[in-house]
Amino acid sequence: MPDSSVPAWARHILRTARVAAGSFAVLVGVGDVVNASDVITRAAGPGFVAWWAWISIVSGAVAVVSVVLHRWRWELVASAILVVALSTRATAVWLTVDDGYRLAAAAGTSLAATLFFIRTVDLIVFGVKASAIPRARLRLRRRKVERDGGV
Amino acid sequence: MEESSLLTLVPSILSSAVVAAGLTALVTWRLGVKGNEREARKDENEAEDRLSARALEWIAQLQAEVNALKAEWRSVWDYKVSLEDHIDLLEDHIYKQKPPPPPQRPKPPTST
Repeated sequence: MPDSSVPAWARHILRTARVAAGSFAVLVGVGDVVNASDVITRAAGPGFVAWWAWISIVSGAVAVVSVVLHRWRWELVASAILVVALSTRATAVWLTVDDGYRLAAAAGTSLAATLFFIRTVDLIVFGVKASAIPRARLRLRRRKVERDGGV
Repeated sequence: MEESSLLTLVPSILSSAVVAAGLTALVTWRLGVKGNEREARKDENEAEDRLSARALEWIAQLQAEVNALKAEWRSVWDYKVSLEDHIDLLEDHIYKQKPPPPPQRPKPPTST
């Protein structure tokens, strides 16, 4: 979902959706800090739960702020960290699928992690594309310096 | 596989995404790519437009050169054909034992 290839109205919708996604990530963390599920805590241990919960809160907040302020690099790093936190949580939920009706919850958490992963890859691709011209300029400058003998 | 080892394995593998993201952020920052997404995407689009314009200009230049070469080749080909015709005229002139002057040699193309 590269922003440059979509019209302005779609960009606004995507930004709003990203703010919502970051807010939900914060809520996941708050939920696990305030009132963690017993099943999840049994499967992963309180340490792991606290670990991904605080990472979700901090990274989700950073993601929301970065989307609002258009800071794509902060959003990139926050999204990547959220992928790790949410995937770890999803693994814990998948491990407790045997307990009963937790398949939808496991798939939902994995879905959230996948969406943040898509955004991460999109921003990495954007970063590579956006740095192509500066990299070419740098290469030309280096070649020129080598040719002119450092003058 | 034990549950705890699986819970350690998943973030360990996925931390490569964080490393890739961090490296991308660091490299683009060092290369001077703008941090504001709107400006960075605008810059990228403008750079692509500039490259496309230059490529189109280059293609137009090459097309003009090809057209010039084709025109030159055409005139050389016409000259060669007229020289062959001239040889026939000379043979005819000699065969019929006509007095001088012989038929005039065709003029070479001016562009060659």
